[in-house]
Amino acid sequence: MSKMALRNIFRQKRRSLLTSLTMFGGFVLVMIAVGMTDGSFNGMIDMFTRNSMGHIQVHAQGYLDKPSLHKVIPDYLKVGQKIAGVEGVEAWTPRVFSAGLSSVGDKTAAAVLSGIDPSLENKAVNFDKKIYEGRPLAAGPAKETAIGRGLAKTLKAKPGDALVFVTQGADGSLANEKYLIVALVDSGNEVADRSSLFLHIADAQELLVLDGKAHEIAIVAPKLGKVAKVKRAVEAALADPRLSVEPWQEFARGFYLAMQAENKEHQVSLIVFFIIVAVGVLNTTLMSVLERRREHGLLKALGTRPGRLFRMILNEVLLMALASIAIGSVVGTAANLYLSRHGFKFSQGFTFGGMVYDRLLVEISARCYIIPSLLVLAAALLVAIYPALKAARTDAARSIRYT
Amino acid sequence: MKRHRTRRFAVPISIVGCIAVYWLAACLPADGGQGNATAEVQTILKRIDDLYRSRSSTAEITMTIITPNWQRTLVLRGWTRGQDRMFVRILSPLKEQGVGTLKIGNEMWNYFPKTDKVMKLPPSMMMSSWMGSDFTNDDLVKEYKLADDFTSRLVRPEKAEPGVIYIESRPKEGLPIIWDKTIAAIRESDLIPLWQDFFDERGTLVRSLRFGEVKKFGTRNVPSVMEMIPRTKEGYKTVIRYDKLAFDVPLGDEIFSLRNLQSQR
Repeated sequence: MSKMALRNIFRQKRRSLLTSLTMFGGFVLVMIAVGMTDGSFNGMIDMFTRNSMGHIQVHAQGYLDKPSLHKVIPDYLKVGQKIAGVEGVEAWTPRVFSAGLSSVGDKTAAAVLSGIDPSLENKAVNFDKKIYEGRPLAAGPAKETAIGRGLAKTLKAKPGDALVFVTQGADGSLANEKYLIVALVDSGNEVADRSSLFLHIADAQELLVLDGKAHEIAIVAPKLGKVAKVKRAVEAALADPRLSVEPWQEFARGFYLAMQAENKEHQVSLIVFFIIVAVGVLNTTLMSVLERRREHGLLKALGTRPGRLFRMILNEVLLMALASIAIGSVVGTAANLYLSRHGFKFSQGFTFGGMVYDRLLVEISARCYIIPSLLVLAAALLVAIYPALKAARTDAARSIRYT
Repeated sequence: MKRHRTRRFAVPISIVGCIAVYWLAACLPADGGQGNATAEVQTILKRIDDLYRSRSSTAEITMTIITPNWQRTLVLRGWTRGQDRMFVRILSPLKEQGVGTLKIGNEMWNYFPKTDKVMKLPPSMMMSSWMGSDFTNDDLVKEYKLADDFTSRLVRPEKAEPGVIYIESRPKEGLPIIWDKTIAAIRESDLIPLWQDFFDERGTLVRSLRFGEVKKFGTRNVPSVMEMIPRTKEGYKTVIRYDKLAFDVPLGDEIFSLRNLQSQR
């Protein structure tokens, strides 16, 4: 049966080539589309997680549900060292948070304080790249502060100005301290920048009476695909019921849901590809069946059963589909490899949190092969049913007489 | 694109305010002198309304703040003149010594000696905690003309005690008062307030103010202890105790000035 199908394919080389080209083209396009989708999807997630959130976060139990000054990670350095030793942890960075009043000259505004370790924060989320005016925070506690672009505007502040921050310490005391503004920050999040204020973590701990404690440790994994594994490893390494370890899907739930909705949109484009491949295959297969009506009539007259004829046509299509997938995989891989290195250049690049984004890089994974293969096979076989049925139902007597 | 949620603490921005008590006492329901208020209610409210009121006053106050995480006691000295001028200085503990708050009308300034900084309180901070206590800055700034702002009537709650008068007060429409209603309990024999409950628009009890330990200051008998208990969170309480209180002391303008605020003592 397949021998006959193979022979049929080669008998009409041009038509077979046309059918195969449709499938091949569809395969390669879907392969690149999947790569692009994954690339842009992961690129966006990476852009946001690497900007400040990190891929994984450690908090005191219950902190995420209801943040409080008092829900702390005790002895953050010890916890951090444990985390740093976990395989797959690219970087970790501790943070202390609070809110209070900031004041420069006679201007006063509410501010959200983040106490950070500048060198760790740099390694994890490129903090220094977000500074657009001034100089980086000193590596040690020096009563220096970096403030968000919007906050600077509200306070009419510039590097070199003195800023007073007032809040309440963990012991209930009234905390107030003077800091030197050394940098203005553009994190890419305009809303956050309207109130963000950064201090060295040791300065923040002193102000808030939170000696050695932190509210959050953000962890960066080498790849998005590794996040779940690294999360489990960190959990195992800490083994502390007072701490909770969450992946970005949990602590940035809104963002995660938005990304999922985005993914749904891409599925629509896959359906469009499916239809294109299907129509192309239907067209050429139907043509070839109609052309060979006499032949099929003769086969039937010679005693071929309809089922065999049906399977023969499906076999033809299947063979062509498999060949297209094989060749398509080679060509598609080459294309994706190129695009994963060089990408598509945006007509206009943009910066986010100090990082320049000017191209879309394709991401290669098993999905790039599985999805187009299934799509081409399904489309080809589904639409081949009708021509195959038509061939099987050929009326032997009439088809021989009338052609 | 949405970023992860902004971290927002309910960290109280402790601002030294003035003596909340004056306002709180003043906030006790006063009769509008119209509508369904009886003459009896009117008389009672007038009495309570005038309980702490005076042209001016000076006081020394011990304020104890209790939270699930910490507890602390502050000693304050305060001056008031009329309903719109207040000045407070923290005497102890040492860390906050010299911190001051000045209120003129509905504006507030704080002074921090450590950073030698006078800060005007932005409107957005008005609902924040005052001094980490269960009073808000708004509590200190708001001036209610009681006679005009509330409609009051006598009520009889289910577990009413003998010898106690209960008065329900609702703010008149269009006034920026965040309470939907308050219920005050007043001792019938000497018309001393016992407690006052504050309800929001959903009818939920939001906080309770309790009065106690009646003492004679000068010629007046007033409760010397007040407890503010928020009902929406557990384990919080602020207790204010008058150690000294004097009424109708002549006070000059210089006390209620930014210059005085900034002077260390």
